[in-house]
Amino acid sequence: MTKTTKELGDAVETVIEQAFLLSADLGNEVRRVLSAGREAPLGVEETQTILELAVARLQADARAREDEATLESLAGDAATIAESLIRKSRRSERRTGARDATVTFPLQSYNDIEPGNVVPTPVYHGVHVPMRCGYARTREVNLWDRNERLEIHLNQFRAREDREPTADELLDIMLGLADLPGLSEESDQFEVKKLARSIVANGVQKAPIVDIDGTLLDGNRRVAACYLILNSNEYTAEDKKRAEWIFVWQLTPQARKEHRDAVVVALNFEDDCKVKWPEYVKARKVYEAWQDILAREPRTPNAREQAKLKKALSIKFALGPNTTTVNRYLKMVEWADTFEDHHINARERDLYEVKHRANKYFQYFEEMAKGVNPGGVAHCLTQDDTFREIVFDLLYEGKFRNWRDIRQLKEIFDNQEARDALIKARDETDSGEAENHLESAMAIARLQRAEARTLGVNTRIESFTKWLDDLPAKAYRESIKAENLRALLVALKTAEDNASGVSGVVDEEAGFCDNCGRPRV
Amino acid sequence: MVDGPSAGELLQQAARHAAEGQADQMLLALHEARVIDGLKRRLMARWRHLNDGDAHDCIVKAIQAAYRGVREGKRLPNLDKWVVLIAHRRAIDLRRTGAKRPELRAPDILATYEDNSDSDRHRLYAKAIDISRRLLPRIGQENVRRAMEVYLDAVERGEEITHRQVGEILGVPRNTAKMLRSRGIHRLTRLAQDDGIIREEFGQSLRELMAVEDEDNDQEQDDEVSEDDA
Repeated sequence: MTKTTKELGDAVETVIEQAFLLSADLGNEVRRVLSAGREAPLGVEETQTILELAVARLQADARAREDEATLESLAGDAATIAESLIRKSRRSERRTGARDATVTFPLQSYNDIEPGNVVPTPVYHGVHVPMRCGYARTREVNLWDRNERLEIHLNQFRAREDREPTADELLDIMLGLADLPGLSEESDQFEVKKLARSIVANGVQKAPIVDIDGTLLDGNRRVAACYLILNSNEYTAEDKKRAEWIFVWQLTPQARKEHRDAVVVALNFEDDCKVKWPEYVKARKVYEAWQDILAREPRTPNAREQAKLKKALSIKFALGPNTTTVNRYLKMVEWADTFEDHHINARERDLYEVKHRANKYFQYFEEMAKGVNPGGVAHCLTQDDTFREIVFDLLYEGKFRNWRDIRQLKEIFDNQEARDALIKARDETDSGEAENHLESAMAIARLQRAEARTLGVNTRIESFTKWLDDLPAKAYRESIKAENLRALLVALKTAEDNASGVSGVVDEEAGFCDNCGRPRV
Repeated sequence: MVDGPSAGELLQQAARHAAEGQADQMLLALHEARVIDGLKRRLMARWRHLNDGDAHDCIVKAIQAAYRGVREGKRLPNLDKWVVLIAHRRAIDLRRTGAKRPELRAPDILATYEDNSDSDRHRLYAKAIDISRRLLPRIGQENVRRAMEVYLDAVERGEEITHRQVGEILGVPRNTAKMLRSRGIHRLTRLAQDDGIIREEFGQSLRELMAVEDEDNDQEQDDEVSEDDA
């Protein structure tokens, strides 16, 4: 490239660069700079170094330009001028006592909603804190890197990187994407993904609170969730558009430290006393919506269509694209319906009393719904109406101690003695006695399970192998069914595999007997 | 106790002092606004290759370039923006020591050389703008091309222009104007590289600099483009 061509190339680069520079919107970055400077000011020595360098450069430039005004303003030694600037600045700080008391993060109007005062004035931790409200661009709100929620994570980051995390890294920490040892197993520790789904469905329900410079005082998770919506492929362009602006409350320029402290304490330490909906109610809502969807379909949807419909349903209820919760709810409600049907129709109990019980013990239905194959709890309960009714009666009376009792029902199902104890527990009016009977049923079931697996194992094997050895060869051809022979071979292979790890069973060097094929021990 | 001037007021004071040739007062205002402190923190956090000395150099050169621009008669109401931009630009350049780029002035285009009556440089930049304009028809998307024409006009005049202003000219929302500019600059850079006019490394440096404006905005921009195209 010739000199002229290189110069022209440089000029074209400058033109393109200036097209960006002249139109660059750096409001966000300037705010970050000011905020970083306020939170972590440089020491006097470093400030002196930078100012001294700047003075020297400006002096040299001014001399080359013959800029008399500049030379006059910077007359003297660079070090002395820098020192003087620092001294003046300190005096200025002492005189005024405070700085930056005007809003550097102005709220904006959006969707015809203009910024205004929050009325009545909110009270936090007993302190009246005047606030403004309005919209802000989500990307311009700075996550709060002094959030106590992140204390361990931030200290870990600082120890490893020897610096503060950037805004992006802070977001990664919030989203569980930061590569911090000890956190690999904890995905979405702060439940930001869950919150993002809720925001997509319902919007940001509670306005985050920002300081006058745009730093968050409350609402880190909400803003992080909006960032996630904006950055994730999981969400549509419409979802992203809604997350682009966020309605916030903002402190006023008159706010003091005690106001900030009051907001942080009130919103992070005091309980908001909100009681969540019971799962029974939420599951019923999902179930009813599912029934509506099925009713609108011209024919019963096939498995793939059902999966698609359930995904849409899950997103609609802010449960995300994974349909696990929807499936769980649907199964639980089906079992709750069977329970209610039994008590209302067979036992002739009051409808609402039964519903209260179903609500109270709703989590037990999840255990009942598990194991639809032989040997599972759901299978046992659907195979035998009488057994299921005993279980429902026990549940209604509150005689199960916890969900582990439900899991043991599959062992009780096959054992008459245990079933008898279970019936006694149901019929017993004294709660203490009932618990004893229930414990007996469980103990019998446990014993059976243990016995079935280990009791008399040596005796059984001894007698079986002796019997097998004595079995005439023609029995294999004439008496034993092919399926039984196959099962025997499979069992022997399993035994061989399991025995291979046991020392002293097979002498590797001795090998196997050429005649009988048995291992030489 | 009386509240002192805010950071915003201090930055305005800094711009005014620069225009009046009071370099000491400008430095004092920048120092009091914590711009120097904040820039050092941000540069170190954003660009991991920098050491303390590099960061100091970036800050000092940024102040020097912005001050020079003002003293050369440029209207720079957002002095803080130029200081921040040039500091980041310098930080990017420091990583590529082998490919030295021209020092950046604020703004560093035709008007500067018209003032200085430097006819050679004037002709050079006039030619550079002409080359850039000739590349525009090959950008391949009408709305991007039109937006770039507006931005190049601003470059030719050496005047700052906002996305809102461009949006009003083109009849599109502010964000769309911003997106069109980003896309236009990327395509213009690629075309100039393909034609061997500019260096390969320039595109990467520019992308890094543009990322300072609005980090992680690519996905959003792509979405907007798709909608607009539709």
